Amino acid sequence: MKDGFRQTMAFLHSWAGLFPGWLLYAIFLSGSLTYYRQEITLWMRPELSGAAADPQAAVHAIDRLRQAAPDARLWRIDLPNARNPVTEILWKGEKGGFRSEYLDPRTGGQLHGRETMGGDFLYYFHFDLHAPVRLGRWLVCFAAIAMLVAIISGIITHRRIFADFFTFRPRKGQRSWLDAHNVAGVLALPFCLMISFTGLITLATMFMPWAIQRAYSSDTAAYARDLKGQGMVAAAVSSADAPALSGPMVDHIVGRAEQIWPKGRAGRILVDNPGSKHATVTVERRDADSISYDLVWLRFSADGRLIARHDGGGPAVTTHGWLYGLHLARFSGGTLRFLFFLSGLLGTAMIATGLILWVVKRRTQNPASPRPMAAERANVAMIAGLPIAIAALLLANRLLPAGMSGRMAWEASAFFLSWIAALMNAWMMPPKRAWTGQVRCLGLLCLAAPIPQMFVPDSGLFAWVRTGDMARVCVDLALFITGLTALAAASKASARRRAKA
Amino acid sequence: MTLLLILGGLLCLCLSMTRHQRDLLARSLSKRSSQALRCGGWAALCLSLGLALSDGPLAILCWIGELSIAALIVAASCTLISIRRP
Repeated sequence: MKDGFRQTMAFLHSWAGLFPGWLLYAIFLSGSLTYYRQEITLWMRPELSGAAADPQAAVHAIDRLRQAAPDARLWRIDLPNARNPVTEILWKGEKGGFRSEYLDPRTGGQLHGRETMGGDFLYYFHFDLHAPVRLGRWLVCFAAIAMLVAIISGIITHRRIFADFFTFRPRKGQRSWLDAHNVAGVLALPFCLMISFTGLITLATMFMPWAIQRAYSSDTAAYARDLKGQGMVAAAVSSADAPALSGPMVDHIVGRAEQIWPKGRAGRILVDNPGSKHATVTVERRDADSISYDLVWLRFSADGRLIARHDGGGPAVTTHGWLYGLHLARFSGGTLRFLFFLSGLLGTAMIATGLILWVVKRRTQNPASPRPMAAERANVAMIAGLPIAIAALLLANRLLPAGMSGRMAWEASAFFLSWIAALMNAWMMPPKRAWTGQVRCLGLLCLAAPIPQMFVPDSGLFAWVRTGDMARVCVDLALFITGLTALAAASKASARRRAKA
Repeated sequence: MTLLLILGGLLCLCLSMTRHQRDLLARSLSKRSSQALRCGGWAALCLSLGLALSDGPLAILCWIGELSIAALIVAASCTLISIRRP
């Protein structure tokens, strides 16, 4: 009976792993890169430069907003921080619709960059796959559930993982893939469990809407209002005739907020009805200051009096905030962020080796079959094809003219077209040749991506090293390392194939 | 600091396994020294976790990540050494 149970689990693991596996690979890879979303955005907008945390940033931003959108319904200011040295302002016009601009925190001057989604492309791809309606989110949801199933059945199937904790035996075919799958899996096990579970939590109200449907008769706006208002302490409402909101007043308000939070800094400022007498200013604390994503905020009237505050909700909201925050990891500093990134890559490696193992195992069981399996071709298109698409996105960001219209859509096209090209290549070539060809192509793309910017004066890798622009230098270096590794792997594989022939 | 403790702990645990003794030291250790290594390894891991627990929630997250890195380092060096030794 015990053996029967393990066999059932092995069956479940191999099939729950296969189809969602391709999807999970894409989700894990893009998600791991999303930990460096800000850095990738900076890299993709090489024109932007500024200074972190300029004390005048809020004043300049208000001046610009008063000039550009005096009648807006809402102003939003994202203050610069260590990872993102520019101020981003956004406003909602009288008729709806949002506009946004980047400002230099030191001068308040508008920064004109190329039109690009930056790191946000991968961020949205991570949970919505750029699919229409909510299809992508539903797929991601099912993939996350399958991930939990695969992890738990995987622990039972590969019960020797803890005994073989440190074992990797290279150059032994199927054995090596199994070892790699086990080692990557067991090393990243706590991370994978945490990230799939918290990932489901982020989409929970979508796939389990029943509580909201019942309690709020599907009125999600009312639910959101109640959620936001939870834990809010309102002080006396101001009704006095307040003067129009000015830059120095907002600066004063930010100063007050930072006095109230001993260790925290202000991250975002929201101004409701900025043109009217009833303007309110809400200051949100930076998301880097707490693990929980249930952000603490303070609301002031236009004459600078504190009218409401939110210091965290009830137990359920707090738990949700922690789980959500743990998934986003916006709180993490340099080291911890790198650890998250590395664990994400280990998870990606576990999925990739699992997919390859699936194919290798069936090929050894059935060596006579001359036709390559569809799964083998899909593996090439996914495991090598997706990184190719990401590298193509980055290269397109550099090669497309900066002032081109519809540039953002062209970047996305570069991503998807190169992926489709990889898929067709995998479909037509024998899998082994497709593998080496595509990995070599990935290597070349990665090595090419940092090059064009070097021809721009005062920009590119060497200039960034001189000015100490570490975020962009690191993206360049990561591209070089990936490129060289891919080229080395491809040439090694083709050398071995030649030796065999 | 914690990373070094974890690394030492995992190395002890690794050396307490017969297969890795064969690969790394080319001989098997006695049952008693294996047992001592195992105890020492777990003790180092517990100590590092204790240190992390006293430093608050961020340190615990760091601890989990460092555990992964340290295990990766130990596993990679095991593989390299056993390749070198035919």
